[in-house]
Amino acid sequence: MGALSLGEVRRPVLLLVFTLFFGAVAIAQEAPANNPTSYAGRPIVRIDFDPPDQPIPQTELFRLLPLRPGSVVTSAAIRATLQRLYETGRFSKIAIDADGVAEGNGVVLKIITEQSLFIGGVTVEGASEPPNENQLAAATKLELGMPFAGSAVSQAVESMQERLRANGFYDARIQYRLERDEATSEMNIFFDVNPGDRARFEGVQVGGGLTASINSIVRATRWHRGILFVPLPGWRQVTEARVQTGVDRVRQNLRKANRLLARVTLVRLDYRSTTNTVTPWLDIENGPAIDIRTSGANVSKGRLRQLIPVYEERTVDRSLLVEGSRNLTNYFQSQGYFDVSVDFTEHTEANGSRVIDYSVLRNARHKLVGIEISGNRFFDQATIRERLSLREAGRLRQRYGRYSQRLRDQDRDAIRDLYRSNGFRDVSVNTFTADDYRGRHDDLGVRFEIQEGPQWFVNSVQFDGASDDDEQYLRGMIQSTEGQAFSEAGIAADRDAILAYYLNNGFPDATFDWTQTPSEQANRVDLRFVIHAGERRYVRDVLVRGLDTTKTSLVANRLGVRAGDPISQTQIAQSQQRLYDLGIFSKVQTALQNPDGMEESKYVLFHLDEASRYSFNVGIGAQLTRIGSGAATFDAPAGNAVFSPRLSLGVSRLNLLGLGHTLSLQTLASLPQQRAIGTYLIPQFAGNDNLSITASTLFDNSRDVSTYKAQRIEGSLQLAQRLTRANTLQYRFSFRRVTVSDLNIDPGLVPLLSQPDRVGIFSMTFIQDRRDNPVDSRGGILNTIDMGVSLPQFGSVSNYTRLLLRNSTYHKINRELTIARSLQFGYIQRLGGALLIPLPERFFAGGASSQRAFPDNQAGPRDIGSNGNGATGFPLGGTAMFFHSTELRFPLIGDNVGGVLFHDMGNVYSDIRNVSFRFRQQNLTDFNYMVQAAGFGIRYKTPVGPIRIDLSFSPNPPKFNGFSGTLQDLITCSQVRSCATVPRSISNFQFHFSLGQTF
Amino acid sequence: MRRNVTHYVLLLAPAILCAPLALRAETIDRLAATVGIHVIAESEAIADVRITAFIDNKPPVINGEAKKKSVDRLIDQYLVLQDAALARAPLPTAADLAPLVEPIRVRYASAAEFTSALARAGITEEDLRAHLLAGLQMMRYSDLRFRPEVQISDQDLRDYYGQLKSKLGPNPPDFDDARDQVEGLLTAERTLEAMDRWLGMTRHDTRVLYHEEAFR
Repeated sequence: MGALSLGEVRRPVLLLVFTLFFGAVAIAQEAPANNPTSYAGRPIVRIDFDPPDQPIPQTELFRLLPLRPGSVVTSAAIRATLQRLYETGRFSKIAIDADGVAEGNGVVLKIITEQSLFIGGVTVEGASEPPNENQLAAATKLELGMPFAGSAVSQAVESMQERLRANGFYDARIQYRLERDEATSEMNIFFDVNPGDRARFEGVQVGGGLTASINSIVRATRWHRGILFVPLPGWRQVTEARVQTGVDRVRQNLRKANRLLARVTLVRLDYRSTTNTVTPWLDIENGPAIDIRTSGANVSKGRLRQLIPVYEERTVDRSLLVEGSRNLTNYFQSQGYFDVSVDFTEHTEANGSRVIDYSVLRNARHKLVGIEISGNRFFDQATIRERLSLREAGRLRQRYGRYSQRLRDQDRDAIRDLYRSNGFRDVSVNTFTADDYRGRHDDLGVRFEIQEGPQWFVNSVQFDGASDDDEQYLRGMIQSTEGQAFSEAGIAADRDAILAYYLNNGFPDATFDWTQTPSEQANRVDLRFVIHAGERRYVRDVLVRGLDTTKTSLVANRLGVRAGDPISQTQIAQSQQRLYDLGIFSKVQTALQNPDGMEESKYVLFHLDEASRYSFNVGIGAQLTRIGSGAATFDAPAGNAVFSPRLSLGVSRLNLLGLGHTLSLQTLASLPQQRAIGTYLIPQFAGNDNLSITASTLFDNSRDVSTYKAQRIEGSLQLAQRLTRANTLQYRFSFRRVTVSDLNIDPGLVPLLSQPDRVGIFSMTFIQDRRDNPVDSRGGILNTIDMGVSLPQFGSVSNYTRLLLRNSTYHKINRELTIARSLQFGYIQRLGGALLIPLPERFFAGGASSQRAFPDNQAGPRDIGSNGNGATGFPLGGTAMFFHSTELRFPLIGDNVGGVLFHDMGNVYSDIRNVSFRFRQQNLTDFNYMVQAAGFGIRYKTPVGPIRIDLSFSPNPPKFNGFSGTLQDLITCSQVRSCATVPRSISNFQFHFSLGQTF
Repeated sequence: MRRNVTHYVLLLAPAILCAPLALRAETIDRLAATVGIHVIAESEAIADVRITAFIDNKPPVINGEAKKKSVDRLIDQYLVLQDAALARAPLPTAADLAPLVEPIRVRYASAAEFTSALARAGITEEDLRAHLLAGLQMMRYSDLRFRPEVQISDQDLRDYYGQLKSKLGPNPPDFDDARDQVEGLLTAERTLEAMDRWLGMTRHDTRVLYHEEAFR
């Protein structure tokens, strides 16, 4: 071995030093790895993220980090960083690496993350109803916007399988597909369901102590096919609802046999794959017969079922029996037996049945004749009485009044609450019931004695935690302002309003606290509202999913939520409503992605399910009506009453071209009318909620006016503009061609009135609807103004202007009485063109909805012939009309039957100059006078409006000359001017039957 | 010459192998467990191990098992103290810590020695005090929250005394003499059992996730 030079010596030494140094570092790496304190105090040079693309925008991400470049590393800051990042909900794993080999003493931190995913939408396809696709989607329990976990999908499949099995699909196959969107952290889940064949029932197995036959059980379940009581071969298909109702019916049958404690349990459903059939196993325990009866007073079985909770709860215990006793007491008290006492006994009879006997001692029947209120200074009697449930006895209804101790106590509480909510925090209300009221035997009086105490007011309100702008706005919004009455109810309302304000301005975590301190002034309080607004949240972006055929722009224009806006639940809900209003989505789901995550901005999700593109409707019915024209004789100017079948068919194509437009065709066929109408509807025109356009074409063949038969072909285009919630404007252009035929009038007039008419009319309608309930109004106002002009420039043969006004008002007199009145005025002014206003353009009125002195469309001028010859007496319509109706509406029997006293006046006039309030008809050719009618009606409430029956009496119905004979007879006698007239008149009594209130 | 090359290669090899390790960054902290949105960091678990060892006057053993045990304790502590905060329960403060800190401090001759021992253990006095305060608060709240539901009959006491008797030496005190002590012990045991049941239910209702990479 030769001598080593210095250089040779140095190199190994340097290498050794190098090796030892890095070896030491490497060894240090294997020491306890997680030790932020080893970097404590060193400055942070840079913070990197791995991967560089993070689910939170970079600026937002760095804003939320407690660590900053330039600051020093501390354990607390490192842990706070982990906490802050994790609580955003965006990360499933987080680690922080430090690289201490950076320049100087600095540290480069690298935050390594794994992002969380969120449910973007659940789509189910292939279901065979029931269950439908929405039900299956709900069964998955995968909620839009919530964190996604892989295990949840297999649970979802299992849940769907369970729902499918419950509906007879035992061989269903479900496949799923996951689509991950990295950019938005969404996981969209698609389920493809192949349900297979639905199983059928096959037999029933019954265990337990049932004594009834299997056949009776099978009959009760209705699982075997059959029509009424006639069994048919085979069993029905299994559905969840059918299984449940079958079990319920067995239970009901047992209850009918007084087996109130019977237990019917579906133990299991045995499935046989070879036959694809299911045998339900029922466990039935009859239990003892329970006979619930009353002694001392008769109570119907149905009423007992309502009053005794044992029937509903299917168990007998003392608390339920006591409750039944209390209900019976209240029932008899409400019938006037205010001193009733009810007790019960139980015993078991020899045959084993348990008897529960409610003994009722009704005592004398009373009548509540007086309710007195005293001590009230702040509220008047009417205001307090409005809130009472007790009722004094009436002549027609509640002849014994309405009273029970429970109702009296409720009323006492209601009065107290009324005062408390208006600052009378020390109010006390005492009640006294007096028998033999004012010396009359069995009359009852109730007195409410009120001690109001002082009224408390708000002296000052201090806001803590609200910005100046917010405070200014909130002060204008709250009830509890300086000088106003102080009540906790008012504060609760203020709290709701304040929190709603913050919630709608991006502060979902806002909190509200309040304190009160007595003011220096007597009966005044100083309020302090403490608001913690919390972090403001913004919309990161709006993600719309589920569109198949619908244009994205259509949806985008309906969204009131934009990226960068503060998150507003109201805006989200309104956007959802606008999308529903398009009528093309069966479901509109909205959610915030990662709702619980504490991040500055969030995605707003809209998941839409497009509705079926076609919808059909079929209606079959009948109508009893009067039809005219085509009759062989002129004996019935008011038309002939006929019974007509009525068939309607309709088809609609929704979401045409993906633009949300609807094309529909509705047809109607009956004896008096055949109609087809095609409509093209553009809702929310140009993205504006308040605009809609409707284009329609109409073919109509009708005989509702007895004088003629009309065929109408019409096209129209309408723009509707909703100005406010109550006010709407409609702009409309219509072009129609109307042909009349089968005229039952003087042949001399036929050439003039039988000409085909062509009308091009531009019209505007203003509607102001402030009624509380359009179906059965008790308050409010309805105004309509309809103006139209028909000009040759629009292609009209008849040129005229037309004005139709209506004003209806509704006044609530008290809790039960309503006065309603309506005025209608119409006027047509001929401008040129045809010599006469064509028949179909004239006003025809009278009948159930205008003037009840007349049958339908029988008011106004009639055919009086030419020069006193050839009069038929058929209505000819007029160019002016005036009607006024007044109704007193009141309840009659129970809650569903009401009565009406009405007075109608008015007529259709030949011309505006002839409008007259004159009572008497001057002669048989005078129809320009005011026909009066008064009458009585009954209304029966239904969900679609009241069914209406009206009987009217008119003291001055029109009399006129008519003709008896055929059309040929009329033509013949007209030619020789020798037509014999027959005196005719409208009957003094008219009977009307229809649906809905008159106005 | 050939020998020299081999020599250099052998010397360089460890350096070359170790270089990537030296350049690799070090993980200084990560999620160990999450309770809802609350994070328990791995560094917290390690600190807990160190402090517990220091209190027990033992050298710390930092491995996956020890960290898991600490994380479990920290989860329980978080759930109990969260419940206490929601209930606005009156809890001990730092001023109540002296009786707990003092027995540890007296193990050392001087304050400087105590500080130096803390430094050797890799913890600070603040860490120690915070650890002790959390434990004290947990004990106090469990007493407030769960003791009232503990019902002990006379028979329970006699049975428990029977179990203890064999451990009390050849001349155990009479039941009547030891009744108060027995009752105290049994109550404490039942209180802890009640808290364990509550923790079991609360953990079931709370999303608790362990991040296994922290325990490897």
